[in-house]
Amino acid sequence: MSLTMRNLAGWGLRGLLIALALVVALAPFVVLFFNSLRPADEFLSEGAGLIPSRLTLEHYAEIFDPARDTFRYLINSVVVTTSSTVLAVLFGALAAYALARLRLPFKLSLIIGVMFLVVRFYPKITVALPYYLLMREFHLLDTHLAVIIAHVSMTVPFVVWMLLAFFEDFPRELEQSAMVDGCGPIRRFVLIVMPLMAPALAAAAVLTAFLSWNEFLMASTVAPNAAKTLPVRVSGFITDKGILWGAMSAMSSVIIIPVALFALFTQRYLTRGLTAGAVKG
Amino acid sequence: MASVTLKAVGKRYGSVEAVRDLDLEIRDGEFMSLLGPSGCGKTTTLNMIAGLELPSAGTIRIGERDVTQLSAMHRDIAMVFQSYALYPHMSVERNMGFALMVRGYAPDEIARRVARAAEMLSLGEYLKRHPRQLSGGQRQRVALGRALVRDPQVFLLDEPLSNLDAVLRVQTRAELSGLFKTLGTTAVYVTHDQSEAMTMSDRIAVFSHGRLQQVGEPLEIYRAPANRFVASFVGSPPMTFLDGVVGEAGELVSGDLRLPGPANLRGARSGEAITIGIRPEDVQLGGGGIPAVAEIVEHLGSLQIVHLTVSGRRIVAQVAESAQLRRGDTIHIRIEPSQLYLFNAKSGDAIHTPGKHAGAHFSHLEISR
Amino acid sequence: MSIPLSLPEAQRPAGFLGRLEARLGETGILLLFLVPALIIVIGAQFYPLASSAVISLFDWRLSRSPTIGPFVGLDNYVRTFSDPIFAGTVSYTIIFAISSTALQLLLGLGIALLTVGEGYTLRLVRTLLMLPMVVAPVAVGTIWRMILSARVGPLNQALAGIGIDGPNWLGDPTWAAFSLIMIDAWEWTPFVAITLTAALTSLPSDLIRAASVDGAGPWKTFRHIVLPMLMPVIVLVAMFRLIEAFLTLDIVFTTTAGGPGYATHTLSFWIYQQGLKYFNISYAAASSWVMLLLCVAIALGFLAWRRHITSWQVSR
Repeated sequence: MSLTMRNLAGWGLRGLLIALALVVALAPFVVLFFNSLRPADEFLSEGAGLIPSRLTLEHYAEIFDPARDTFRYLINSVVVTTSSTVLAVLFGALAAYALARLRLPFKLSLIIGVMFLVVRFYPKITVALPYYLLMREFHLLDTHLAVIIAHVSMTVPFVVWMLLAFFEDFPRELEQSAMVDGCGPIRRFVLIVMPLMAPALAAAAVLTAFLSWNEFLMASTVAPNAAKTLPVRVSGFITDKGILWGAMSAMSSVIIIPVALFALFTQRYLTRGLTAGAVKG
Repeated sequence: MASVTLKAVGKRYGSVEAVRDLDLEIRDGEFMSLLGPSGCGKTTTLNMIAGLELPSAGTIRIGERDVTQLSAMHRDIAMVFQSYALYPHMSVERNMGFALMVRGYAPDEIARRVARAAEMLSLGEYLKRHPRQLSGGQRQRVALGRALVRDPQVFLLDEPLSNLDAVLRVQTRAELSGLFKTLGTTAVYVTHDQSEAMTMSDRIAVFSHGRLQQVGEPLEIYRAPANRFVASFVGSPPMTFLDGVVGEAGELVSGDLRLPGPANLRGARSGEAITIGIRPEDVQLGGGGIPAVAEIVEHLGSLQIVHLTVSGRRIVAQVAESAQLRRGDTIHIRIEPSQLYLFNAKSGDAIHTPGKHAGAHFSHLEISR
Repeated sequence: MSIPLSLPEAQRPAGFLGRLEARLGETGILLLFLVPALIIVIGAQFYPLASSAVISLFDWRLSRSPTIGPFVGLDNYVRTFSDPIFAGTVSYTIIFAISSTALQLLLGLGIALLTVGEGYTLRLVRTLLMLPMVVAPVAVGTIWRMILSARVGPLNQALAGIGIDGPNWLGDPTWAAFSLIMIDAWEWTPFVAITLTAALTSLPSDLIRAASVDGAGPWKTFRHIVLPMLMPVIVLVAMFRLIEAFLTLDIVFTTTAGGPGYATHTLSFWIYQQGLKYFNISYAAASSWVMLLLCVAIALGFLAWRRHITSWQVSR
């Protein structure tokens, strides 16, 4: 085989494998989407093909029917995710900056570091129940705040861990200059450091938003009704009487589409966020 | 405008002592250079005057105020950093006005001061640009402008010229020097470049290993160094050092080389181990001297730097280009005894120096073979 | 550190912020910065953790009484360890975690190698391949439940089209256990792929060029140069994925609800059932603490292994 043919074959194989990966990754979404447009009776008939015989928006109409509160759950999710993201990034940035600048006795900074690291590695279920009891005591059950606090507590460690390296690498002389110019820590942080950290903050925000939007356990534990978020709603379609496939597909699509679009647009930040600690380490 | 006084100042990091037992007085309106190699403690000292670091021991006064425990923002000093430290996300104008804005000055006052500083430094057309759009030299001027706008009691400069290329550096050096003479504000200038310190300063403080070696006017440092280190650091090309002994008749012996020693040596120090220091420009070419062979000749245009072998020893000489020496030439050299620098071989302390009022001589222009 | 009054008025930092900064000093303010994050993490994570430990030492069953019952010491822990279902769940969860993680590593590495490089198309491909990971795990569960449905699911229909009688993916215990592993791998392989792609692009290219100058072909270069240099990242990713797989809950919820029987119960799911379905609060607390200690042990083991692997690396 001449060199070009070998190259072509090589590319061909690579292309084939990539195509295969794409199919495996994306096909389920395609199926879901089509199913959400499939008429209800087609779900139970065995002869139904991959593509629905006719497209119908009845399921979407059903879930967006005002009596069904779907908008409320959507809004709940939006409120929870936005608030959690803002708070987590803010608190996380403040904490990471402090950790980067304070000269704590070695033991103390180690303890705090481990504390933030550990939160990722134990079962959330251990926390869920007592957290429920805690929220019950504070009369915060079924409120946005309960879910927000839970989400922030879960994501702040991520944010701190991600931003710490960036803060440590921040040029000292810029801050010294600001100090000489008359800025104490607060003004330095707000006027000089944060504006220059914008890309890193964006990455942290994107990551937090994803985690919060998709989170299920805590949300279902402390917000079963009024403050219910979308993921919890979706699981509610699996009733004991049987599965409302059409509605569930439509609802899942509603959850997934904004996320997918968001992911496509913020891909760069998401990647940076995920790999921040792993690759540098 | 104020003086800066450091008394018994020390700084240690863990077990490392960056600055030791420093007593230094910088006079009101003076331009003082802190000179020394990397790691000698000059930048640490500057940071302590600035308030970016607090001393482990001793006190610092600016003017009448004891500022030892005050942080940087309360000391009324302005600083120019080596890397300029311009805020990348702000325009030149905002960079320069930042400190005033933070302290609550009125906007028109800020604008006035910024405009005045911009004019002094020819930055007028760059006011709206951002740092990344500027060249190194322009950025350096903005950094200066930022300090000027503050109208502080003391200016602190941390090697502000070291990031400029050689040509720009010499040019800016002169401009800076002129600027500070006009302003008359007290300035403390850190550098490792001895030519900068020599040309710009009213006085120089030489540091080594965290200790102050000597403080004095440039010529004093040059002609009356306190010890071997100061002598070796100042002057280009650097001084030649030879190990030797004081002979009985007051001559200096180094291996096979014998040089007549300076007048005040006779008697007192016979047998003492010493280090002889010879400045290249003090090596005179002339008949009747000691024979020497030119091993390497470096041509600088108006001067020649000649590496000579004299009685088995290497001595570096600086002569006029008109001497027209070439490699392998044999010549005769003389060194005026009073121009020699003698140091205690063990401690490095100076035993004899030409002294600050030693006249310049032009004997290197005479040649005879 | 207070502002000296002798400082000329114009030199004093202005405003409320300035005065606050002066009063507390640099260190004080920085400590204040730490407070919100610490309060929330301690309050919403560590305090509940501690209280969970306390609860596990009592006998509390919500079905019996709304208040906490008598102190029983380590009884719940003993019960946990002697419960056959717990043991079965642990072993399935371990198998699940290891298999899924191994699959993710292999596929993720493969995809990273296939899609590494600049160029618009490759970047687009990488972004598209990211999708399974960004979707809510709950939703992932529902999607696959639909696809793997034995009668009406598209997978079996497609297989029927080529003459294969597809198994009951979610209804048969063994197949269900297998399917769950596949689903988890499908969902999280992109994470591995992204991380390894970033690692690959950060490898120093001169080492690889040196290898080709030395005459090594692509496979040899990969095996002897690229792979060893990737190992620290791979180990780190493996640790993250393994522990998170160990904690899996969401998917189980919506695909099989742990069934059939206990076939696809993961530890988290089982504990969830104990606590929030059967209301055996103390028992759930005890089991969850056992699980926590297991996780910590795994994490420590990985960190030690990673330190061993990176010990020979030349620092850049």
